[in-house]
Amino acid sequence: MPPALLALILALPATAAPASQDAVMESLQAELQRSFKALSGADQRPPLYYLSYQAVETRSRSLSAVLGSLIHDSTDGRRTLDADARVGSRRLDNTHELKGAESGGQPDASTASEVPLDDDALALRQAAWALTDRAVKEAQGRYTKVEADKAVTAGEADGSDDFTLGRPHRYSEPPPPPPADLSAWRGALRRLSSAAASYPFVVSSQVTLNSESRRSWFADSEGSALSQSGTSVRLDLSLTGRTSDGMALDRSRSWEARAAEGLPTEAEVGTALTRLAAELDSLLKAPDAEPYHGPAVFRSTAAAVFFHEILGHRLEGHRQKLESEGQTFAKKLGEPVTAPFLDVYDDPALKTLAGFPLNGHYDFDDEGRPGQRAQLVKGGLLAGFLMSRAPIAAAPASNGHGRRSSGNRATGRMSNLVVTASKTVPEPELRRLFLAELKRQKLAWGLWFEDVEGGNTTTSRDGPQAFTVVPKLVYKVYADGRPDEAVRGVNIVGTPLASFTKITAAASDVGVFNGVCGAESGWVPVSASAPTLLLSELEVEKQDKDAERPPLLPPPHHDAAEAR
Amino acid sequence: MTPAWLLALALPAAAAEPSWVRADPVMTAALAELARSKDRLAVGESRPYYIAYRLLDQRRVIVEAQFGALKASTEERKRYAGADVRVGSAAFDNTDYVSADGGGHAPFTIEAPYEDGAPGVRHALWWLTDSAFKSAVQRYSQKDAYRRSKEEEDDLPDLTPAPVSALDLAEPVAPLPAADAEALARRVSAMFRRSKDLQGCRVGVFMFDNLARFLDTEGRRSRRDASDYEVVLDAWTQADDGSPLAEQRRFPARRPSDIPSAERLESEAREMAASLTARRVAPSLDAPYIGPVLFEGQAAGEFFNQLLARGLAAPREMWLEDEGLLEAYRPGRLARRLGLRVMSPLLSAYDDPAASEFEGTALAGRTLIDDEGVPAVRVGLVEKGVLKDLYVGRAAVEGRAGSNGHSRSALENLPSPRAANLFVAADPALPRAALKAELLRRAQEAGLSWAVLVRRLGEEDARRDGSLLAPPVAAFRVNLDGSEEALEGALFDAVTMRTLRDVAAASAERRVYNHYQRGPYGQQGDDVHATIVHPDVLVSEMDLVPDEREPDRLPRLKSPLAAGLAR
Repeated sequence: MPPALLALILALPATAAPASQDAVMESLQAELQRSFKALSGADQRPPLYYLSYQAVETRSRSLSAVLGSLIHDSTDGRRTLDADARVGSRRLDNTHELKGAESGGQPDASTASEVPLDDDALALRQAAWALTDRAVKEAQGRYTKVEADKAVTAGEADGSDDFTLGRPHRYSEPPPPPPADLSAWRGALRRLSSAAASYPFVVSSQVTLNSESRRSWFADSEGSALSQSGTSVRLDLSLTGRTSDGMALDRSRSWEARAAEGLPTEAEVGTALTRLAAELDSLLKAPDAEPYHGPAVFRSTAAAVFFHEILGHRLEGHRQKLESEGQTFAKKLGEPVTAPFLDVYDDPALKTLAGFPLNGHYDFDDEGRPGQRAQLVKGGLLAGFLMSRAPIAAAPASNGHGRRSSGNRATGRMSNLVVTASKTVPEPELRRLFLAELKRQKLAWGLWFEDVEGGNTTTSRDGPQAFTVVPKLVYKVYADGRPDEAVRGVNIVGTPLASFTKITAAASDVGVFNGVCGAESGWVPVSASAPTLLLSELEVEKQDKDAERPPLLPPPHHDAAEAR
Repeated sequence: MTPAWLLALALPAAAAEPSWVRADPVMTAALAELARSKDRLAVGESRPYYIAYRLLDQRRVIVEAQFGALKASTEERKRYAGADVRVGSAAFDNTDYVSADGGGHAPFTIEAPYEDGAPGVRHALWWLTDSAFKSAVQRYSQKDAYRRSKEEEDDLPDLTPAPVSALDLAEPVAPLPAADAEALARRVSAMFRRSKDLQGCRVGVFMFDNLARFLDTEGRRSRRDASDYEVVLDAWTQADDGSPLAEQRRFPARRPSDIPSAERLESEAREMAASLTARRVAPSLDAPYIGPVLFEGQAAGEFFNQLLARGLAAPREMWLEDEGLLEAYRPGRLARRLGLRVMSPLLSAYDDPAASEFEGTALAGRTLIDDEGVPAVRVGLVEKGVLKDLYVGRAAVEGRAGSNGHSRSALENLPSPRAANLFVAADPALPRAALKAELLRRAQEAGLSWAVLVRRLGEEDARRDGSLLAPPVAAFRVNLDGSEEALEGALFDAVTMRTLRDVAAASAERRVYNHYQRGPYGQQGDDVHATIVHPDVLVSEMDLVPDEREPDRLPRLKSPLAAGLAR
């Protein structure tokens, strides 16, 4: 089937299904229409040209256990409402970047408040009205500043519009079931947390289970009406120890699923716990790392985080336009950015990959645009950007990646970032290539990054275009075939463009990292996936460590003196 | 209740723990860790000379509603632990000192498992004590270095001796279901739908079922109910000139049975809405006023809270490396005025922490034992205007012998002296009805054509520009014929502690003001239940000035409520 036809069929249910009305949607639409009609008239200075509401309801249950006892048990319910009020015109509106002395850049905050959870029309409309009034006043005030700023500052390199208008979408999903009942897990959490604390080198440990049910409503002055639903459960297990020289080290593992039935069994978690404890034990005994420059391997999930931090964030559309940004890739469309055998895309439509559920799935983004696959890198060449409704010279339209958490203005963000390789080798072969590279560079050993926690990256113009990725489990691999050894206290450092040209081989596996990602537009759920990758060069530095001594007394339940 | 501590005081230090302690797995776990820490924690020569643990079991329900609809509902179970670890000696330890970077001694806190039985509580206390001890050693060395660099410092001890007692004051109360809180919040907030003038409203129902435990290395043990319930009503709008108008009514309670009825709360909501409607069109003060002011009801309670109760707290004066912090750590304004006349000779005040009710109203400030494990005792504070005593904790204060059991705080703060049940009375006193006539007589005598009556006063947080008194929320202009008109936009000016001495008359009838008392240094969140039983008071002369803040713009569009939509 031709790809174009497939895309059309996939899009059909989203555009053809009539939005089934509900009290929240009806209230939001009624207040939106009343406000827009009154505030978009020529008598308003300046008038509203676009208004949207997004309500998000979250109901959650959470349970945590430590040392065999529950430490946390909560239920929560919230509904937030964000209003995006735009005055002026799509060419120039109140969201435009301010560059002058009084600037403050582009506004990161959107106008938001908590609104009633009950589907009560008057209470919801009263809350939406108060929010709209505040949003419009703020928009009009800021637009005045934008006009003055334009008058006294130099023109921008990218003179594209501030907003793209679009056709309306109507889409409705049934309400989600309530958050999964976690009661059946209480015993398992107690037992697992007790097992976690049974290791004498573990100074703290926790097992946490969260279930969440989420529903969102979006309505705008273009006529869109979208309601989406979802559920998720997440199990987290973490163990922490401290070396005698004061370094805190931890091992953790998470499992995500759409429903409790998708979680691993207690026995499977127990097996993972045993493995994590063994890894932590080896890390605590491991030598502190020395600065290193040489070949390295990133295990699939570590490689995925590497791409998320270093490439993904720099391909967010607004970063190519804002004068305050480094614009690393703004003018590199069609140019090589990584190895020619690698493709990178971001696809919010994906729900699973290689059997793993993906955290970043959605049908419509937070600006009411359908989530589309964005091809970012093709054959190693830069192919596109992650676009919200703020256009840039190189990409005039949204591809459904406008995302935010409540209280923040949406920008282009990742959803499910996928790195694929057109040329792969089995993992043993990748290891053989790694050893060969070590020998070629006349190095006795290299570093194998088995697990990373996450990291951060600087993209603004006033900072170095650098990144840090925090490895959690790293092995020293010897060229002469000696057994691998754990090392601790490693930080990966470098500059983005250089790092990606050093990828020389990919394995045939796929690893998925699910998490939440924070940036100017808030925290959003994401995933990243990649194969295991070999780099010919990588630079690491020693990690900062605090100077705190380990506890002076042993944990009470491991105190031999007291037991006597 | 029988004063159980009289008996408990007789317990020899080495005696076995009381049966209720031995039967409480949390107390026994904490005692084991307390003993291990006291015996074995050491860094070089430094060892803890005193350790206290506070543990708080909490079931927390937080519910909010607006205009009849539920806005938020959370329910959680928690157990918190706090450790106060001291090194040095009672004469000179790591406390009562703030370093140049603003750091001072504070308890360390941690969340511990809320389930009993497993090693979780001990493990949490082990971690906590270790961190607190290391910090105490560092803080002690900083303070010691500071002492060596200064010629003059006070030689008051940091920890004075106090009675040792073991008290079980737990009073199990069946917790209210969260659904009851949700129903109450919906019902009361629905009353605000009846007022077209309101822009917003909020009804919060907070139910914290708390069990507090205390133990220290000197043998103090206590377990008590520390539950905290509150209903808060908020409503707001704008005056026709755009000035923001807001009203808040808070109803703190210690037991579910003390929460006001739904009918009473609905009536309060109705009153608030009516008040805001009247205030929307009320004239604003347009010129300074100097003359008599009558404080009635809640306003009189807040008057005594902000001027008297805060002033009576005498925490140990801090050693401050940075003198820029002097204002932040200023002790109670009356702390150095013992024996002097601090109030009108008409007024006397005492604190009776054990009192449970006044004329049928429950007193939220009831305190039998404080957060330093010391039984709270009655304190005669002011006699015919003369200051006789202060609220004192275990940190020594010039002129006072030792703790009177009034040191309290939120878990994450060091306990500090506060009011529990502060009783203020006047002698001679006037019937309440005669106070208004006296107000007008004084106004006429001063050549004024009207006087000011304040029925609601903003709480401490509303104070502006360093004023000792928050602005009025509900003020009235009382004409010489006795008629009243709402008066907006008035702020107190030039309020000093002299205002307490300028009380010219007070009512014989007294009211109960249950509220939250903030600590002496005003930290957010460091609020404890307190009560003031007080008369209405007439101050002979006060200054009021117009509020010069620019009003906000009015909404562009009528609210759905005002427009009669979706009713």
